[in-house]
Amino acid sequence: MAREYIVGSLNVTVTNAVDLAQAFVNPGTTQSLEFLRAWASQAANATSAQQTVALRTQVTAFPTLTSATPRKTKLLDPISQITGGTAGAAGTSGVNASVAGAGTKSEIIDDNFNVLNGYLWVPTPRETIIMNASAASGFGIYFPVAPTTLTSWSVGLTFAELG
Amino acid sequence: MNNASPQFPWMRLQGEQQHITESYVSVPPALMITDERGAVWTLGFMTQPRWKAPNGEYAFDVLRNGFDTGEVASRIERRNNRIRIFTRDGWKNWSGMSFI
Repeated sequence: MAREYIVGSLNVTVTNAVDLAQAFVNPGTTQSLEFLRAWASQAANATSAQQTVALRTQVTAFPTLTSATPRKTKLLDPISQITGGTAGAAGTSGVNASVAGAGTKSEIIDDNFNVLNGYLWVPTPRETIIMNASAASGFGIYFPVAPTTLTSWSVGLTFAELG
Repeated sequence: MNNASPQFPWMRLQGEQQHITESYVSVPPALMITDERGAVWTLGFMTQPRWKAPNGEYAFDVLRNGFDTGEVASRIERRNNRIRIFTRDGWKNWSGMSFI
């Protein structure tokens, strides 16, 4: 496998609001994206707490994000077709949303986890989520409710570029 | 294709360890497991070829404190105070040195 990329945050302080995308990728016009992994963890403390998490798609208006450029998992791969961006627009990616954006969010997977153990979503091969090129919709990992502890969160997505 | 997994803070112990993962926690859906020795276990980012993976599942490199153990598995579990992984050859247990 090749052309797999990571978009993620590292030990950031998340915003105290509902329905915020913690990592968000919006496919461009030329390549579909296959999402292979999502994760979330916090390193602020060792206090047990439950946290909700959701994998969703969202149409415009997209969230307001911190720009995050996809990182390669194979050093010989070309750079991703996706570029860092703060508006969630087509062909861009970002993390740690500060504003949810009014666009409709469609649930794909809803789950809960204990913050001490973190959360890892790895689908079986037939369960991967594919966002087609020109989808007019982005995909992200969201916190439907803000966590009790807002600091030191690392959240991310792994995707492959298809075609 | 043989690059090491990217490193993240959660792949290693972050400060003084205060939490040992409960028994029956599995990666996934947990992100990491911390054993009684303070070692952090998680799956790396190197998706392994199908012939190395348990049938019908993705498999990845098994990391201990961020370092590759040389094993490939789809799941890591802590059960009865032991770490075990699910590989193409079935379950393997951590002996303290290697998986057997």
